[in-house]
Amino acid sequence: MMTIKCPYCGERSEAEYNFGGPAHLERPSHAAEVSDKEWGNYLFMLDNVKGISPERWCHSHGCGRWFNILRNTETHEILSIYKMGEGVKAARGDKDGA
Amino acid sequence: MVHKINHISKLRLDVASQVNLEKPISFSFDGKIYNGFDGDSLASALIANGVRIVGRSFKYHRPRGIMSAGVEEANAIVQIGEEPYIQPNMLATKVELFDGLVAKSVNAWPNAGFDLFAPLGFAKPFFVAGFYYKVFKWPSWHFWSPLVRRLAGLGTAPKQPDPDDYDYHNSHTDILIVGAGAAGLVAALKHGKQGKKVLLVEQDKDLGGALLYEKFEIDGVPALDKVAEMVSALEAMKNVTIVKRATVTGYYDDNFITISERLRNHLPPEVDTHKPRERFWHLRAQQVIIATGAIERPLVFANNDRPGIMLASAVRHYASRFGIAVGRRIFIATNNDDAYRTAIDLHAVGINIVGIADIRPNPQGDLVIAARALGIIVHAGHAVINTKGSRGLKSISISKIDVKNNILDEKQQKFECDILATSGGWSPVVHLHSQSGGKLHFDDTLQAFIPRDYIQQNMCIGSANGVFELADILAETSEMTFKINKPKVEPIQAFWDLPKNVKKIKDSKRWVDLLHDVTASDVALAARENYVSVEHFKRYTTTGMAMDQGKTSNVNALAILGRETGREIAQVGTTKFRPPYSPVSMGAMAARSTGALFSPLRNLPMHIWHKDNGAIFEDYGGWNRPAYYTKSGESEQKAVEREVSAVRQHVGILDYSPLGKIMVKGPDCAVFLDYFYCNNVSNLKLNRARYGLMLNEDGNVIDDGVFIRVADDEFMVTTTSGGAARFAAYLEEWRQCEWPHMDVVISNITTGWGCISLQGPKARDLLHKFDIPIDLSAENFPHMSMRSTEFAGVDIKILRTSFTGELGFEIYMPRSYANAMWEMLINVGNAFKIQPFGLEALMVMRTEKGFIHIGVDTDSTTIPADIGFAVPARKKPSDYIGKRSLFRPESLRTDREVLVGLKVVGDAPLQMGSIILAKGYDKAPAPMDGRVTSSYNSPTMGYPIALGLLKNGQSRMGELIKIYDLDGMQEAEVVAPCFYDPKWRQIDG
Ligand SMILES: [Zn+2]
Repeated sequence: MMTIKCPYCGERSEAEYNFGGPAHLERPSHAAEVSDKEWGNYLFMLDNVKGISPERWCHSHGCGRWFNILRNTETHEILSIYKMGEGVKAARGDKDGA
Repeated sequence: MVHKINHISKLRLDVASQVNLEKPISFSFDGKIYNGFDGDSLASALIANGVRIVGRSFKYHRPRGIMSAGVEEANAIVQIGEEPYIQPNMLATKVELFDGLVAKSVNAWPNAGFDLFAPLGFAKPFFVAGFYYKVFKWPSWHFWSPLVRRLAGLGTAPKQPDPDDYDYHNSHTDILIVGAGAAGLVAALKHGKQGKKVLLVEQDKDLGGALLYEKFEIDGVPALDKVAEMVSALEAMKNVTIVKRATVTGYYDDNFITISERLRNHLPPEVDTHKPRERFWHLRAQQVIIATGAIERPLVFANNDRPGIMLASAVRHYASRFGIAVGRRIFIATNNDDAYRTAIDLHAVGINIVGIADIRPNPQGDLVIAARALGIIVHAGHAVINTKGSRGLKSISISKIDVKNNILDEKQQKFECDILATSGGWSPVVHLHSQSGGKLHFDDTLQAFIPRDYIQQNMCIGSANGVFELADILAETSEMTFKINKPKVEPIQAFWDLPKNVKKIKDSKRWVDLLHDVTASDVALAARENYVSVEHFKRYTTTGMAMDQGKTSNVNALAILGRETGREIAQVGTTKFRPPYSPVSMGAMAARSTGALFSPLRNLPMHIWHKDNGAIFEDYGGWNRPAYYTKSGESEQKAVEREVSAVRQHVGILDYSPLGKIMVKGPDCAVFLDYFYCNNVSNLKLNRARYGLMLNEDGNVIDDGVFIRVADDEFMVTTTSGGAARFAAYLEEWRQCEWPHMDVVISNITTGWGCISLQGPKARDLLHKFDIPIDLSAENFPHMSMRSTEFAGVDIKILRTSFTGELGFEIYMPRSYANAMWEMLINVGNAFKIQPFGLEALMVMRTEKGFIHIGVDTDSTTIPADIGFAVPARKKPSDYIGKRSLFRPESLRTDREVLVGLKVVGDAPLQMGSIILAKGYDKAPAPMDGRVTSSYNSPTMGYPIALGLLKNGQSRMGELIKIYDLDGMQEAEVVAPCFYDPKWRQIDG
C-alpha cells in the first residue's frame, strides 16, 4: 500500500484515496461532431502503460480533491504529484509535488 | 478430554533442554492419546512418542513424516482443535503443545497411519505435471471435483461460527526488524541504543533463532546465555518493542507491512477468552531490516520422502532444544560442511552416526576433520541414491559419484539406519525482500539466491543476506566485538539431482516439492512440454505454490529445470515471491469486521417507531429499512396486500429518508446539471420538478431521480437511496476534472434531511388537517412541483411526486424533526385509515405502475431508449455525458432488449431473473431473448405481474413468450409496461 502526498493535506495512506484512471484524457468538446471511431477511442482505447503514466487520483476519504500523479506503474514509484489543471510537463521531476 | 499418562519416552535424551520434564502434558493425535511436556512442539512430542507417519502426501497418499523443525515443514500439516475451534493448515513443527490439545492429520482417511486411499493405484498416472490441465478436461472439472476434493483436502473448515475475537492493529515504527536470531538481536541492540523506535518481530515463542539449538559459544559462554543477556538489555529499552509468535507475512509498497500475531493459539481455547486469538498488524516502517535467516534444502534422490528423512539441521535442533533423539541410527548425506555439525552434536549425546555421504571428493574443512576425529566414517565422493522402508526409513544405499562428469557408479553400498539427515545447502529467506520489489542474484559460491537491488528503505542482514557463519554475522551487523571460534569452512558443491546414467535411478521417484508431490521427472516433463519460463513452470507443476511458498523446494526445482533446458540457475531465474510468507487465518484478516460490523447498516430517523410497530427490517442498499409491518402473526404476503390496499384506497405513510438528496448551487448550476441528465434541466421553471436519467459516458443509465429547481441558482437532486454518495462523487469528479471553471457547489445532504412520503387518494385531505400556509389544490400545487414553507416552526419542503401512481406528497425536513412529524401525521391520519408501508409494498406498486427500479430493471448495458426514453434523450439539444454514445451503431440497433410488461398465464408469479426463451423454442436449452427483472403478485390487479427486458420488445405486444427457470416453464403475454391506471387518472387524488 503506497503512501501518497495529497497536495492539500499531506502524506496519507493509499487506503484514503481512489484511483481515477489516466489523466489528461481530453473529452471531445464537440462530441456530436466526432466520428464513431474517434468517440470509441476516447471511451475505450486507453494506453494502460507499463511504466511512467499520468493518473488521476482523488483523496476521497480526506479532502475530496482530485489531483494528478505521475507514477511508474511497474515499480509504483511516484515521480510527481500536481494539481488539476497543471500540465504534466511542468510538474515532471518535481518530486514533492504541490 | 484426554487423560494423563506419565512416562518418559526412550527417545528423550538425558540432557538439559528447553523442555520441562517436570510438567507433563497430554494430547491426542488422530484420536490416540500421547504425552509430552511443557516446552514441546507438537512435532517434538510426536517424535518422542515414536509416531513416524504424520500425514499423507497430497497426490499419491504416500506416508510422510516430520522433515523439519520450523516453518519450512512440508509434510506435517495438521488440523488443531475441535468444533468450533478448528484450525486447519497448521504446521506440527510450529504448534506449541498444551494440555488437552487435539490434533488430526490431513490428506488421510481414516488416519495417517492407515490410509484407505493409499492403495488406489489408479491415482498414479493421473498426477503427472500439469495434471490439473490434462486429466480433468473430460467430461468437465465438475465431474472430477468431488473425488479430488475428498482425496486432496488440506484439512476441513470448521462448520460452526468462530467464537473467538480477532483484532487488527495499525502502527508505525522507525525500524522494523524481522527475525530475532543473532543478526536481528544485535541489530535491535544497535538501533535501540541510538534511541530509535524499534519493533522486533519473531515468529517463534523464543528469541534467538538458530542460537536456540546450535552449540555455539560466544565470549566463552553458551550462546543461549548470551541471547538471554541481549534480550534483557532490549527489554530494558523503552523505545524497543518485542513481539513474539508473530510472522511478518507481507511486504507492500512504501514499507507497508502486515504482521500476523498469534496471542492464544498456544493456549487451550477456554483460557484467556477475553483476549483476541490473533491480531493482524498494519505497519508503516521508516526502515525494514530483514533478518529472516536461511532455510536448509533437502537433497534429491530416489524415495527421498520416507518418514525418517529429515533436514540435517532439524535433527540437531530436536536434540538440542527439545532433548529428543529423532532416531537411534543416523546416516547423513550432504554437499557442504554444515551437516557435519549434526554428526558432531548427535555423537556428543550418544547417538550412533552410521556414516556421512559427502558428494565432495575430498572435504577437508574444520568440521569434517572434527567429525573424523570422533571416529565417524565419511564416505567422500558418495551420494545417497535410494532408500527402503514402507512405513518409515529402514535402510539407505549409497554409490560413488563423479559430480564433475555427472556419472554415478553402478555399485551400491547398503546401510541400515532409522534417520537420514540431509543437507543440500542453505537458501536465504528472501521472500520479504522479493515482495518489497528487490531483485535476487544467484551466488555461485554459496549456491543460493541472495538479495540485490533494494527498491524500498530496507536491508537484509545475516544469513538472509547470505552470511552464514555466526562470527561473520555478528561482525557484519554489530559495532561490538564478540569472541567466537570460527571454523574453516570449505565451499558447498552444487548438486541438485542424481545423474541419470543408471536406469533404475532415472526411473525412480525423486521428490522435489514434498508439499505438492512434484518429482524430478515432473520437472523434466514440464520442460519437455516447453513450460520453460519459470512463471509458467511454477503454475504448471504447482511447485512452490500455496502455503509453503517454495521454502524447501524452490531452488532445487529451478536447478533441475535449468539442467533439463541447458541453462544455469541464474538464467532460469526465480518467480517473484508473493504474500503471505506463511498462511494467515481468515479470522485475523477479517478482525472486527464480522457479523453486524462487517458492513454496518444505517438506521432511519424513525427506526424506533418502526421497531415498536412491527416492522420487519431488511438491508436495502446499506439502509436498515422496514420491508413491511406485521402484527399478530400476519404473513408477509397478507401484510403487503394490506399496505398496498391502504395506499390505493386511503393513504399510506413511508419513511423515505434514505432517498438521495444533493444540493447543487451556483450561477452555473443549470448548465452544469444539463451535462448529467438526458432530459432538459435549464428550461425547468422555479419550484418545478422533472424526472431524469443519469448516464455514464458509455450512454448507460447509472441512476434516476427527480431534480427540482428550488431557486434560480439552486437545484435539489434526488437519487436512488444506494446511489447518493456515488452520484455526489460523480458530480464532484466532473466538476473538478472537466469543468473547473463552472461556479457550482455540490453538497450531499442525504443523511441530514429526513423525508416522509404520503401516498394515496386521501393524502391531501390529511395535510389539510394541519395548519400549512400553502394552497394544496391540484390546480395550484400540481404533480411534479415543490413548495417551501414553515410547519410547526420548522422549515420544510413539500414535493408533489409519486412512485406509487397515487396522489403523493414528499415532506422534507431536517432529520431531527422527522420523528415528531411522523407521529403527528400518524395520529391525525388514523381518521383517514392511514397505514405505514414498507419497501415491499412500494416495489409492488411501482411495478404495477411500470416505474423502473435502477439496477433491477436495468443493468450496465441499458440505455435510455431501452426503457422508453429514446426521444427526449436523442432530441435534447445540448451535449451531456453519454449523449454521443447513444448514436453509436450498438445503441441504434433495433433488436435491443427493451422494457416490457409481462402478464403471466396462470396464477404463479414468475421468478425474478428467469430466462425468456427465443422465439420458436419451448424448452431449455435455447437461445435467450431476455429475462424477467421484477415480478410480484399484484393485489390491485388480482393477478401476477412482471417487468422484463425483451429483445425487440416494443414490436412484440400480445405475443405469448416462454419463460424458463429452475422450477420449470411458464408462459406470459407481452404487454405495455404499465398495469395500473395507464391514463394517470389517480395522480391528483
Ligand atoms: Zn487531501
